[in-house]
Amino acid sequence: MDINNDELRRELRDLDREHREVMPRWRDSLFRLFADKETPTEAKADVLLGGFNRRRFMALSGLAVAGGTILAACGDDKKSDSASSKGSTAATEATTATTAASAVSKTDLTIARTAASLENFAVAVYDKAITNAAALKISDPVAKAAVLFKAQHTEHASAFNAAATQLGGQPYTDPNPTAAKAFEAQIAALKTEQDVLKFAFALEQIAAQTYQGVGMKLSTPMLRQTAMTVGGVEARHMAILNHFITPPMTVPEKAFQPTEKAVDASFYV
Amino acid sequence: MEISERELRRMVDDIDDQHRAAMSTFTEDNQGLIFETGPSRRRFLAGLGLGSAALVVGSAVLPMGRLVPRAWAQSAPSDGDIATFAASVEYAAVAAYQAAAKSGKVKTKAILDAATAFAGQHQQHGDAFKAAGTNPNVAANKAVLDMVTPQLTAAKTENDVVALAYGLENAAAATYIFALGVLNDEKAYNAVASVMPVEAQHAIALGLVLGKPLDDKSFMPSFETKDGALDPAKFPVG
Repeated sequence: MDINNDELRRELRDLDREHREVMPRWRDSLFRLFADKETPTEAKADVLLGGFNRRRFMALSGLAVAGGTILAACGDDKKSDSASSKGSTAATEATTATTAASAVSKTDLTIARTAASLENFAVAVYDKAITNAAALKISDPVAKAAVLFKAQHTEHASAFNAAATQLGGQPYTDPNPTAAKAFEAQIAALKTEQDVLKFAFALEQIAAQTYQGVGMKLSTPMLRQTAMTVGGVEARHMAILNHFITPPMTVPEKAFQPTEKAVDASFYV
Repeated sequence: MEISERELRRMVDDIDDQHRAAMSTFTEDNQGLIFETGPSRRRFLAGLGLGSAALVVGSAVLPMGRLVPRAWAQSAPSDGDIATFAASVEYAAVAAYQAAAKSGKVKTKAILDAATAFAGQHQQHGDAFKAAGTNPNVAANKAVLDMVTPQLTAAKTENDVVALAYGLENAAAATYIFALGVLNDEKAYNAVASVMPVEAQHAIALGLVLGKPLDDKSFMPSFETKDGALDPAKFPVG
């Protein structure tokens, strides 16, 4: 159905009026986001950087019943005079918010690069097992699993490096140096298929628990989700490897995966 | 059994071909997953981003509607609401495993033992989610049971029953992956993040019973996905 020019013009005027009504309140809310001293900077950063979903946006603009931390902390929506007089204070607060946001991004970046480095280490371990398959007497089914897992860890490393790039950092393309040093002796001592399986299982377990453990250090739910799309697969790797280990362990052993084997900050790159 | 160098090289070539085929669409496939600015809770609720429009559990394909519960249409679900939904799914899994064990169709002791163990773990999951949720009286998700029960009744073999459980475990894992993309509360995150890997391992155990090959992406994916996640709109908490 065609729309006539009068109707179109009317709709455009309505839209423009709505826009003009909303913008001052949005601008005021954003200003108070930076000026507000009580709302934690992490919460502010979260709103600015991520988890900025529709419901939160509406709460921030005062267009919906206040439920979010930000609006509750800001107080009355109509008090804009006091906000407009805080010129230099607002600028300082804006800098603080920016610094907080920068710190959050740096943590995300460190974790993304560290994850990539751990994946690279896993690739190197599986590659070594595949290269020495004959000497280690690795069976056909185990070799097939090793080849697949090496490929999947390569994809994981690419994903984490893509995240690192998106976060403004550089990809990390080497195996994790702390892991390489920590496990050097164990890797040199691997003599049989069972040795390899048990070592690989331990490695996958460390990875699975690490991606779960870093979750709340990451600044957004989406980053946590990304980490766990990999963490879940490492957990699956554990279960497959356990299938070949004799005697097999109970996997999953517990109802809840712990994080006691997650890497600590000494592994960060 | 040893593997010859030629055979190993052939396997490496095969996997490399698969890897290159997957990587050619990797960026596109994962663009939204990695760089998505954050799904709204309404999207979780409405089923957007949940991949295909059908939930496959066992061999049944069930269409997912867009019936948004009126109460949830007014406001997005909280972390507590999501935890309550998770509890209802876990309790449904407990009931499903118990029914499967009682059906007489599972005769292998090792599988029965696994079913008992998994049911116990799902019970613990449900209790943890209930504690983090908004409804202290949450029970097994009726809609999930209504989906599973007829399939259990129709199952002819032990493998049919195992396949049903396998589908449910993968659906649970996918659901938790989706939930992780919206949860903000630390307690809720810890609950979901510690449970999802366990559901994934349940799926592997059951997949091994079914003889799933490693190249089956539902069995051994490169990344956990949201595909097949249970939609709270289609499986509302009672």
